[in-house]
Amino acid sequence: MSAFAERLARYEAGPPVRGVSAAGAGFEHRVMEAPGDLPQAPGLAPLVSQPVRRAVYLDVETTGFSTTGAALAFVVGILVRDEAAARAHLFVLWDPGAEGPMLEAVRDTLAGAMGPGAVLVTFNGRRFDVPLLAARCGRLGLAAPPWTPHLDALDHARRLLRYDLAHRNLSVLEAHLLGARRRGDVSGAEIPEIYEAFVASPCTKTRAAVERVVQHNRWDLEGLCRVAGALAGIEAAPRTLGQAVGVARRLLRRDRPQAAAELLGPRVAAERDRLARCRPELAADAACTLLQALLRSGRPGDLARARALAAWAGRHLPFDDRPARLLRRVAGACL
Amino acid sequence: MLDESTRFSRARTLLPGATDCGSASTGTGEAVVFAEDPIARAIAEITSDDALESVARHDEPARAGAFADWPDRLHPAVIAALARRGEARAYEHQARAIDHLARGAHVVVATPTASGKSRVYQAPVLTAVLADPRARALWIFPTKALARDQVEAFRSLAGDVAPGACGAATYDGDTPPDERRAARRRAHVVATNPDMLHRAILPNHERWADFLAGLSHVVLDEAHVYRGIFGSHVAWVLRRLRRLCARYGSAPRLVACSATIANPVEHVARLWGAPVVGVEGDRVPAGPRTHLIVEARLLDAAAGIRRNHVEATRRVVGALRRAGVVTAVFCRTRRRVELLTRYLREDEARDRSRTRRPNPAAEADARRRIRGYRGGYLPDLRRQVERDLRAGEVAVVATTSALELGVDIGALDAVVLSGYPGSVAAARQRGGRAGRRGGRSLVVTVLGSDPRDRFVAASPEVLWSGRVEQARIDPANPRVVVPHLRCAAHEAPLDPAGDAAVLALAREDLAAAAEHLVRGGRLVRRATGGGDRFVHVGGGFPADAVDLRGPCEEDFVVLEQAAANARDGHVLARVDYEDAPLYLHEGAIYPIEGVTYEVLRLDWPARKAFVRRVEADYYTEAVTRLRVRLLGPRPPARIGRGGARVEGAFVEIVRVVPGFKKIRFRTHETIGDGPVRVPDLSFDTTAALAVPDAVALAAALPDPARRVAAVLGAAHALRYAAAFASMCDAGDLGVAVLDGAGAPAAGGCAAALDPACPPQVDACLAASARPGVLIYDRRPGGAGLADGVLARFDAVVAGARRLVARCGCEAGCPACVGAGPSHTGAEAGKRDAETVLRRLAEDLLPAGGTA
Repeated sequence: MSAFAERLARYEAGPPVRGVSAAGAGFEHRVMEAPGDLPQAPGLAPLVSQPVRRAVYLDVETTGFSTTGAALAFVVGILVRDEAAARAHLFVLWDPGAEGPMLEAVRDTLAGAMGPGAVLVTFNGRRFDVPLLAARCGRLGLAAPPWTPHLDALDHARRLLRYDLAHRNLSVLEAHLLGARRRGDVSGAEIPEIYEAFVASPCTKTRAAVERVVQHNRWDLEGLCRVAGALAGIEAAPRTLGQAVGVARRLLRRDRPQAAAELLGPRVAAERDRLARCRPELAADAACTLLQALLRSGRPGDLARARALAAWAGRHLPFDDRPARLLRRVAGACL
Repeated sequence: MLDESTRFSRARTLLPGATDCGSASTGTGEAVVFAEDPIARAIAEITSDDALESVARHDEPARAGAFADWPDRLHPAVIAALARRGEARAYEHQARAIDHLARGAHVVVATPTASGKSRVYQAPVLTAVLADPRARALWIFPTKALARDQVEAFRSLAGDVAPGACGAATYDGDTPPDERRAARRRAHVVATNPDMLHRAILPNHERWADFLAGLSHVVLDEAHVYRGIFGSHVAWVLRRLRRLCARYGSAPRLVACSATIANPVEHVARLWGAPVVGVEGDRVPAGPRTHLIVEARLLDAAAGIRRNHVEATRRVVGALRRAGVVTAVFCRTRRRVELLTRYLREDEARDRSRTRRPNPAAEADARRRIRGYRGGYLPDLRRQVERDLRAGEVAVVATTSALELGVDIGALDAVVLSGYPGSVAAARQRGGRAGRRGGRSLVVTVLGSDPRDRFVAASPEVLWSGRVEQARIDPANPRVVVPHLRCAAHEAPLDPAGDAAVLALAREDLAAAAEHLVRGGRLVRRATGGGDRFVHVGGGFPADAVDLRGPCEEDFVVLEQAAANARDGHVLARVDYEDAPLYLHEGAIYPIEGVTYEVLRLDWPARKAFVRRVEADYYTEAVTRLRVRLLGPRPPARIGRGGARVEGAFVEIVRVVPGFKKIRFRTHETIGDGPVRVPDLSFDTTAALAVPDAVALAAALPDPARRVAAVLGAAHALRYAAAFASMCDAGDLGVAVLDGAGAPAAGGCAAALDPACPPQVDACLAASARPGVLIYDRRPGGAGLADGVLARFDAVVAGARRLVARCGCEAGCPACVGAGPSHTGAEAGKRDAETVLRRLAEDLLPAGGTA
């Protein structure tokens, strides 16, 4: 026995963490059929700009918001939607010690579902779910699952619904886009406490609370699937001017200013005077976006249209000097 | 030669009468040469003062420095920038250290104060960044102030070398979030402290991935500070850092700097967990230095009563002040700093106004020229004092250990030690502050009647020729290892085979410690192709539960009430949690740079003290009592002959502050007292209890008072021996004498030996029938030191016997048997303590049955 081992033997351990059995595959992998009326994967094409044959929806429930390894994902939900069926995989970590095996199972499921024609869909996954799972895999010495191509629905919701909604969390989107309201759902803020209570004293009651979190995760997955479908519908055919501004911005980013100008031009012309009075910030943003599209399109006559639009903005939106500046910077260089 | 002489510019300006700088470096140190020298004038005045007695004087000649070219491995732009700053050539030790570093070694530089240690890391780091902009350096300082100082100094040098090429940032608790992001992403040099590394950087290493991947140098400044339990924790933080660096593919080199200690290479190698190369030597040019040791004159030789120590210090500093010598006065306590600041300002104002009437201009001038500097001042005030010191506007600064570390304060001509600081290393470090630029310097040590001072009075040469102390850490303490392994497993899975080398722990020991955590449910084992891995269970940050410097309570703030009925005023100072009952009780006078404030109300739960400014002619001193209560036994126990035993124990340490005294300034007479109503501070900890055979001891020492005094003396020696055997700092252990027969359940109280509060008569007498020695861990909860003492008890007793027997004194001195209780004669203290230690050894050692 080494000197250190002797000293270690005398070192009294603190009380063991209650409720944690150190070994064993303490996680559950549930596979269940999802409702057949969930939107089909190819419908997501407008958001992905490539053909989609299969969509893999991912959502995790965690013990905190740290994405550098301090928060634990104790429920991981994966919903695979392809032409034939929609199938949900729910992973529940009943024993924190089994996190490694569970993440390996999650990785295998993801790796099996992803592949040519497949896209990963999340809600805020770019900033949260994916880095969190990556950090936990790193901490446990596991290879990370495949993440790409990745569609974060929150990015698109922010862009498309910027002028329609003040908040863009999933339940608000479900209510706004689908008219659906959940009943008996747990609130996100309770979730970390529910799991801590379960780990501290696993019993029927705390286990039932975790089951409610699992149900919440399942609703999140289905909601995400429907919301992503609805967002793709908006992307294909924007209904309001605010949505059209969002679509036009994406077109500009993808260097299609003519399409953006064609989309926005008639709508701005029709609505600008009304909006300048009741929603000046939307009118100003729409004017700026259209102005950029016109200045970059290079079609004959667009420069003149841009001048006219800037002049209109100078009269009706005197608080905002962006249109005038844009015109000076770009048009000045052209002339 | 021209290059070297630039380093003596200060010396020339200081010596108006000296003919040239050659005479300053001939180095006889004779006062005759410097007849016009203000230091010589001050020495003459001090030695002729009737209130002071000279104990010793030692003159060190000037030293010529040894120089070398800057190693050509440094970037030419760096060498050019250094040359522009008057450092065309390097000190020989700087060149040697940079050479070792360039060859890939880890280096520790242990040289005196002001020997250009910071260049040893600044220049190679700049070179590394110029060669590869992805290179990064992590600088670790024990305090935030040092980190900030060094970053400022480095920015100035880096801006000189190549503007914009090398960014530096501090990363500590005061750094706002957006600056933290910038530091992580863009700074080449990040200066931080061990606590921040442990709690913020390592647990979030994903955010630091680029930084850690590019890490080329780790700088550990003031490495001698990391000793005892704190040092052992820091050793593990560094091991965790090295492990993560290895995972990110970097292998940073260490540059450690240390003040003069006896074992810099061994100490830093233990801290870093890998062999290091030592660069020692003091071939730095220095002007002649005079050590002067004086003491307050003895008034009554029989009773050992001396003139007041504060008064003696004031006289010494007064002489230096009048001679125009820039002086720092190091005091042992914060209260002493305040007293001296006040007295010296009064003296200065009186001298300047030359009239008896109050003179506001002179008083304002005195406030500017005489400054206080101590922990507890707000950062702004400290910065301002540092600035004024550098600008040369300050004549005298009174301070505590706060100025001991390398905060840049510019040049000082003289240092006064108001009392021996307790260790040779600290005395050297403080004395080293004098004569920074090679001018003549003076170190005056003023001794009083404190036991530590009497020890120096008996052998004054320790101050210049004594061996400095060793710094000790114990990185194999399971109480340190196990929590840090848990943190490490949280950062990345533990691999006993792969991590053993970088964690400097044998593979099977690492596996055993990991298994220990598995049994506690903190880790799980996972079998992989390359052997077992241990992974952390669950989320959260385990690092939050490990405190490097011991559990922290929130500080108190001192608020000045602005107007009548105002609830909050503006913040004047901060006071540590443990000190609040001593300084902030209601009715206390709290001084800040000599200005007195009276505490009106102490809001304990809110951690606030409300004060108002008063012109008090007294100050207050809290009375403290330390009580040790035995809570219960704890294995292992060993029973010896005649009921002698040594065993583990759980104890409760309680500090009570029953009241306070009002003491008049200058005369120091007690003019009143009052009660203090604050909660007692208490904590539980672990201890080792040793009780000798009572009958045999009583036969050897029949007088009960003398018996207790003997046990107290033995306890003092046991404490130092125990600290030595468990490789911790003596300050980490406390000792107490208690009634060894007292049933633990009944709660035997003990007389604790503590420099701050003398042992109490009643507790001593209660213990006299069957006295026992309790050695306790001063960390709340215990850091495992008591286990170490129990495991090596034989070695501890043997060490204590050696300490007492080999001490040079005749009848016992503060160094071997301590000061002893004041009510017992200590003429035979040494022999009596030896008797007690012999009893312990003989009663306990041969039997050796473990229960």
